[in-house]
Amino acid sequence: MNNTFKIFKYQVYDFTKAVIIFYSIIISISLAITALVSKGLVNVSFGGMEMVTAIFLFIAGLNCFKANFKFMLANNVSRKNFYFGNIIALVSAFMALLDSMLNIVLDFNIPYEGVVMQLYKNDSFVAGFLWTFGLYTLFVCVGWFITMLYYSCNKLMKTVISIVPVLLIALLQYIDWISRGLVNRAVRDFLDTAMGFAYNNNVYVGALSLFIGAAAIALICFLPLRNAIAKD
Amino acid sequence: MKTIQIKGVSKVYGHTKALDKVDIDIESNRIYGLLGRNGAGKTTLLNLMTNRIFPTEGEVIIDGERVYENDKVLGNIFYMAEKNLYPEDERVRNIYKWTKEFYPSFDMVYAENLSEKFGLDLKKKVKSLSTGYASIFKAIAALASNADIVLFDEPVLGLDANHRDMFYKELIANYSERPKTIIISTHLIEEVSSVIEEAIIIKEGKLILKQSVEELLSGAYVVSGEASRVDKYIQGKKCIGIEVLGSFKSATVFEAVNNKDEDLAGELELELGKAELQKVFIDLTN
Repeated sequence: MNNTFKIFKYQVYDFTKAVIIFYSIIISISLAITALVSKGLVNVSFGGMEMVTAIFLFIAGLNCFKANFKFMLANNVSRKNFYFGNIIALVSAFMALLDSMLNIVLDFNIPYEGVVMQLYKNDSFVAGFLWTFGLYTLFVCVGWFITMLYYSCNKLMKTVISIVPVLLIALLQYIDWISRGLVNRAVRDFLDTAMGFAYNNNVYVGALSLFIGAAAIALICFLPLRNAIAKD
Repeated sequence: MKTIQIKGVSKVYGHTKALDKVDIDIESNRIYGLLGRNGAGKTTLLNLMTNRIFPTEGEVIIDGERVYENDKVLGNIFYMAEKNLYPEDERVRNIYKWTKEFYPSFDMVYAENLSEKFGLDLKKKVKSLSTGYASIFKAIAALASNADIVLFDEPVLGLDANHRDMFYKELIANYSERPKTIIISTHLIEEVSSVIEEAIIIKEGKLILKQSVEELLSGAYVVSGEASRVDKYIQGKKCIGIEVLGSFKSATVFEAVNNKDEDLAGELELELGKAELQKVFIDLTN
């Protein structure tokens, strides 16, 4: 059995506990709300639970590198195999599937709208699954990349990479101010196009853009990993 | 047969040269002691041999293949590092199970038996192990891995005298049962001297000696007695260390003793004795 699959297996094992706890909480909340609504005790609409999953995956991405990488080094696995054995895309797909199914169940019982329905007014299962899969992969990749970048940097570089985004935002805000909203318009236009809102609310364009973003970040992740060494 | 070739390996950290053009050939199925003072570059060398860090120059070759990102080669080496690389929240038994995934020859029954022998609770989490038991846990993983090359970095760190003795005995038994290349990096030289067959001594990042312990010790001896007589005796001899206690002097001579030397020592009423590995090490690295 090749090392990539063994790493894959270990990461499934490592993620399982966190995913079970997460869904136990989500399902408990959903059941409680369903019970309250069905008994007429409250009159609420509920939705956008996918963003909770996205944040969970971002945090999972932040936490799934260091300990796993060290364990792989302890077992003399190459960085290349560690990279290819990563299961972040699989976890994202699994959670997107669960969330899409949960959406159907919730929608059937209570006034519920998922993120895709809210943004695109599209209730297709496939579209919802693909879009949330793209979103989750992007979030987990961003988390993975940030933690890897910090891990591979020395103290000075950590400070630099922490300050640069703040400076960049301040600079963009200044440019936006002197150009009377140019940056804001550019960002809005970019998001409209990338997320498919400019194409008659095309959810598939949005999903594709999320996947392209995730793939780009996943590729960049290999750069800090290539020369990563065991650190405390 | 796994031979290790370390070819012109240097490692620089900022302004510090941890290793400087080190060339070592390590033959298979022998037990080596990697000796050196603190900061000599021992751990750096072991890390380089296992792809955990990368050389600034040179390369490490095992059976003709570069170690760099080579899973095939790396799968034949088990490195018990001094630092803990295992997940802190994981239980010892689970770590052993996962080690078996990566080292298919890992002997779970042997690991369990050794754990019982050493009093290591397999249900304990890694973070709850004391320094000594953390060393025991990693040493058991290394012994049970059945890898062709096993590297130990300070394997007896924090172990009491009984456990240290048990470890050395187990190491010998394991090696006799299934010969392999073993490299032990340690500061407890005298303890390990009866275990190792060959000594590799590193000083300030440079290899200063690689020799069988038997040859090394037969090529050195200690002469002791009244100070002025010892001084007279060691004239023209390769003396690598002197210890003075009042009018008493003891000198380590890095040469094989011959009949002439014995006669001279007799004439000067001096005593000749066997050199100890630790003594030779201290003298060579001072």
